[in-house]
Amino acid sequence: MNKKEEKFRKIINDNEHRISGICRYYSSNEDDQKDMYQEVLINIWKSIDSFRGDAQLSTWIYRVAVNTAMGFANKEVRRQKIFLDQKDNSLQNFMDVDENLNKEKEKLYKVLENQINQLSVIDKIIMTLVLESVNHKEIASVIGITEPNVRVKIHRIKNELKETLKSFNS
Amino acid sequence: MKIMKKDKIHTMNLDSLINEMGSKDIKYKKMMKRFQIVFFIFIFLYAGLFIINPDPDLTIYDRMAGLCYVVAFTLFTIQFRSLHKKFKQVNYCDPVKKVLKDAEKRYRLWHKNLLLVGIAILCIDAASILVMFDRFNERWTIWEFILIVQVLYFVLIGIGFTFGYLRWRNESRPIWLSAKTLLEELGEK
Repeated sequence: MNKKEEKFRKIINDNEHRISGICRYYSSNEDDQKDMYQEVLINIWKSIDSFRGDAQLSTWIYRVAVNTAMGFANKEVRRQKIFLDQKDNSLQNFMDVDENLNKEKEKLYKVLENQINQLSVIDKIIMTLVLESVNHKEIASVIGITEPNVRVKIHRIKNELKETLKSFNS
Repeated sequence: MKIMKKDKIHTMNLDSLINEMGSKDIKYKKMMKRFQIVFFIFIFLYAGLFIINPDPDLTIYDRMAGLCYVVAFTLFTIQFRSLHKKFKQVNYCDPVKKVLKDAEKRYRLWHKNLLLVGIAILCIDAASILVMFDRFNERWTIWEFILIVQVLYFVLIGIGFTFGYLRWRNESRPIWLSAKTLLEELGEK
């Protein structure tokens, strides 16, 4: 096994959850997620030599994953869409919603998913990273904007989603 | 007003942008390489035919024209070399904003480098006048001759630019506009 191969394997082993985490949001079915995952791996392989350690490895992985996800989504849906997994509680945590949600969870998730898909492209990327529990500093580094800017954007997104939640509850 | 802006942003496809960029980068890379080779051949061909060639029939105007051609093709080669390099350096591991900034620069219509192309075009213009000068100066006055060559030359250049512009408008402008709009959304151009 050469050095590049070894480095690649280590990176994938250590970051598998990050890559699959992002892929999950951009494809609705398992086959598409697998295809996208493979595409991210190909792009990591192609770019592995350009990783100089300027950013954290996880940030670098998120950059490749997000950029690939955007390109991949185009092949399948033309319009980038975000898909939420109801089994995942990260959205509830983000919205500070009671974990013991009633039967209406499915309906609520659909409403929030629709609302998220109304967001701008950049806001959608930020949302996927927030739901992946990526910290603000790292999101700023993935997108290439300042941390306060990320905070402002997240605050605005949260408010918009809370408004939706309010109308849903009423 | 806010809603309108948001709708506009929503229709922007960063996904399609990156996807198109990928395929176009490969296409342009190949194209640039081909152009580079062609201009490289032209440099040697024109230097050989007009400057090094010992043929006594070649006038000083022909040799000056040859020099203009060589300068023009050298400038074209430099231009395509720099474009080729730019496409080679595309890195999708950069932050989203940098990927967008690079795309905005790469796909815009006017570059600083186009100044070199402008100089090269003027060199070819000068060469065309010099190379035909001796052959036509008996039929027309020098000013008539220069005017005719200029009109013909710039009509051809105009046609070339029109085709270039139409191609840019169809292929590159949508990517450039998407990148520009998304950069505006990020609060920086």
